Amino acid sequence: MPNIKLQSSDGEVFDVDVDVAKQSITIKTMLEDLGMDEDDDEAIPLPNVNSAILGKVLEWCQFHKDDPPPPEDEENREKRTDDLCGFDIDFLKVDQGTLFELILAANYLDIKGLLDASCKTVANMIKGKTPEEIRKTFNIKNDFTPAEEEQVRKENSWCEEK
Amino acid sequence: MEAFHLGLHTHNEEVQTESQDTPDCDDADFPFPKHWKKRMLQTYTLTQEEYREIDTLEFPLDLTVVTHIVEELISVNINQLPDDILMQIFSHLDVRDRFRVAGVSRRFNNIIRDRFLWKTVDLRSCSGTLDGRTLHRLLTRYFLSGHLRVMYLPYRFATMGVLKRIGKSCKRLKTLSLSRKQLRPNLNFVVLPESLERIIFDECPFSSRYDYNHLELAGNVRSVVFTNYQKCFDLRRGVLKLKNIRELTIKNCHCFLGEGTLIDVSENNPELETISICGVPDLSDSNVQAICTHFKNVTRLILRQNIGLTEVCLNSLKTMKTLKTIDIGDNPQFDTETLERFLVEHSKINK
Repeated sequence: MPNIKLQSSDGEVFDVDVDVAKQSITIKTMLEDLGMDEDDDEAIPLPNVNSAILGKVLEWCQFHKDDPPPPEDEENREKRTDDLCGFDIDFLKVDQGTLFELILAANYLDIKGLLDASCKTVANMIKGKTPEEIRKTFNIKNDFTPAEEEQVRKENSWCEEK
Repeated sequence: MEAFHLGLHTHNEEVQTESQDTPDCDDADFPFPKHWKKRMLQTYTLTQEEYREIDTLEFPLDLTVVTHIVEELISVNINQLPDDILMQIFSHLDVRDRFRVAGVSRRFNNIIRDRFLWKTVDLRSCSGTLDGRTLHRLLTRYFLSGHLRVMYLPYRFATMGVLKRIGKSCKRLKTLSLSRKQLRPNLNFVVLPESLERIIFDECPFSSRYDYNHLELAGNVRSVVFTNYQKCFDLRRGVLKLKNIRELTIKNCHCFLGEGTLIDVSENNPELETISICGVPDLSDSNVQAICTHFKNVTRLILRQNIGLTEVCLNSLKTMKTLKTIDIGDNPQFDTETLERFLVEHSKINK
């Protein structure tokens, strides 16, 4: 398998199997549309991803390189968050900062499977929590005025009833 | 144990003096108890548990004022994610969790109010908590719009009034699911939008008291799903109402149809192209044989997760000349070698 070189924002160069890297639609498009030669010695710069995150992203791509393409009729599939594979569950057991950086990288590199899995992981961290518990989990500041907060609380009070 | 590094600066004597001179910093930037605002001599690493309990913690060190401590604790905060990603995260939450998220902050509240989030509305988990008035308020403000594609209605909410409102406001609705709704003659599907392509009957009983001749599906519905049926007669009455559909799905049902019913379905739906039967333990090899005998125009057959099927049914599949796509994965009783041989042969014929 031919390899390509990817360069992270902090200058580290990763030598990667083309098929692994092509799970990123961004990289795939660069290779195909821009006519980048696979034997080219020049590294593709990825200015939005640092080496720690790029290393993790490539680890994910390596594991999932033989996955079948995702089904098309997305809209008709029921939304579920309990269908992550064992590898993804363990892979995404990271601190919040890393998790969000992985999301940003998956979004930039356009890797649907990784973006989906990481978004579901965050959704699972939100599930069943009260607004105050969500704020505490993610360090979010309550920026409502007391009047606004009362209004929102009143409007949504139905979802607190058991 | 995972630990956050509390990235406080190690201060020397000078800084300590400075911080004592300016004790009244903006409290908003200092999320910790006031008695910490003294001096700080060293850095200290908080465990996650300590961090969560930070309000009550008797902190072992004197700390100096540190602004924007949050950014230092967690390198990228959830608020640094762009709106479209937050929306994607929230799209995985059910309706109740979404409204809890709305109470977190102004930004989250705005994202929850965005109609784009409500492409799929699943009210099945709300039937116990949502009263009629609140439902109508939420329908107006959040759920019903040109963005809505998929709607799951539990039996309590599937009234004629709600269906009419859906028909009026949701011109791009594609899928409607009705759960455990006793289908009465006064429920008229013709009011639903023309964009509707698929109806899911989720455990909806078809009572023998009504003849359902009125049960006309909206104009373009070509795909019907029956799911979670436990009783054969409910499922049978349902499928016998179908006319001119292209796609029939039977999923997670503890019952199946007899040969006579299958013949009627095939006569009523001559254009049927896709049959999907998944998670139906009662499905037997002879059922598959009956399907292959009576449905002459089917091009796609999906038979997954049926514990009653064995490789014997492959013989009947071979006789079905119209089949282009066959998906028979996850049937535990299949002999894998026979299945692989069959699939290889089948793909050759299709080429």
